[in-house]
Amino acid sequence: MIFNSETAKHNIGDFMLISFLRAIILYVVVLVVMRILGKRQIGELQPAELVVTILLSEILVIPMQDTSLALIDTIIPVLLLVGFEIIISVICLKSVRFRSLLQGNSLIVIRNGILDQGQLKRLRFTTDDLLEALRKKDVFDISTVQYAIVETDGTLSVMLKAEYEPVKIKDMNITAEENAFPSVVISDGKIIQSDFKECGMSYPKLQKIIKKNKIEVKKVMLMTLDKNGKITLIKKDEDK
Amino acid sequence: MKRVITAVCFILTAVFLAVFGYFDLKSTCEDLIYSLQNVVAVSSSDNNEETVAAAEECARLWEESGEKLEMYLNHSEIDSVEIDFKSIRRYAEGEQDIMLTEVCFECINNLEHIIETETPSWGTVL
Repeated sequence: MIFNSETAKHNIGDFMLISFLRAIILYVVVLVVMRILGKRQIGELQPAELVVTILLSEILVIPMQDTSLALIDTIIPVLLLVGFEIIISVICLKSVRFRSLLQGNSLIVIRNGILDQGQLKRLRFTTDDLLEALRKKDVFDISTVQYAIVETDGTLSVMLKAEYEPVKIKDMNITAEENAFPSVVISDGKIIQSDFKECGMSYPKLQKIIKKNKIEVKKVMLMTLDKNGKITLIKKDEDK
Repeated sequence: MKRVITAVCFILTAVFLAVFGYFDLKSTCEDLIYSLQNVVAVSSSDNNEETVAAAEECARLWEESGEKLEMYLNHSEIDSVEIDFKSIRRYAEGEQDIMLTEVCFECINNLEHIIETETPSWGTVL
C-alpha cells in the first residue's frame, strides 16, 4: 500500500473540521438547554436538577471528543432529559406532595439551642458538618441558635435567639434614609443607557455631570447613580 | 405554560427522532441487504455483465444511504460495511465470483447485526 501524504493531510483536516462543527453544534445545544433549564447555581440545585446537570455534562462531552459517535445518540437523550426536567419542575410547582416526594422536606436540626440528634442521623450529617455550616453563617455557639434548618438543597438556614440577634435600626427607634439601588451609567468608557430610567438620568444631565467633573466619558472606568442622587465616579487608571 | 409546551415539544422531537430513526435505519439496511442478495443471485448465473450492473446498483445504493447510516450509527460500526461495499464492484469487474459472494455475505451479516442491535429488546436495552 502506498502512503499518500496529501491524502493524510486532507483526512486530518477533515477530522479537525468535523470536531470543530460538532463542538459548535454541541455548544449551541448546551447554551439552549441551560437557558431553558434556568438560572440556578450549582449549590442551589435540587436533587433532580443536579442529576440532570451531571448527566447532561457527561452526555455532551463524550461526542465532542469522539467524532465516531453519532450525534443523534446525544441529541435524543438531551432533549428527553430537558423535557422531563421541565415537566417535573412544573408538577413540583403544582403539587406539594410530589414536590415533597421528589425534593424532600426541610428538617429542623437545632431547636432552642438543642441538637436534634435523630434528624442529624436521618440526614447523615455529622456534628462536624453541622458546626462547619453554622460557622459559615457566622454562628460559633449552638446555644445561641433558636432554629437551624437543613433546606432541601442541603444548605443550612439559621435563626438566632432574640437576645443574640444583631440590633436593627428599627429597634433603636431612629429613621434612616431609604436605600437606593446604584445604577451603572458609564462602564469602561461606554454610556449604559438601559438603566437611565431606573436612576432618573438623562443624556443632558449626564453631560452636565461629566462637564462638572472635568473628565471625558471614555476616561471613566465606572460611574453609578442612585435615586437619591448619589454619584460614584471612578476614573480609568492613566498608566494602564 | 410556554415551558410545558417547550418540554412537550422536546420530548415529542426526541420520540420522533428515535422512532423514525429506527424504522428508517431498518428499512435502509433491508434495502441494502436485498441489493446484496441480488448481487449474489446474479453472480451465480455466470453472466458477468449482469453481475457488474448489479454491483454498480449496489454501490450506488450504498452511496445514497451510507451517509444516512453514519448519522444513526457509531462510525466504527459501519466502517467494515463501507469497506466491503467498496470492494464489491472491484470483485465483480475482476470476475472474482467467490470473493464477491464472500464479501456480499459478510456485508449482509454485518447489516443484519446492525438491525438486531438497534431493535429494542430486553437484550439490547439492558
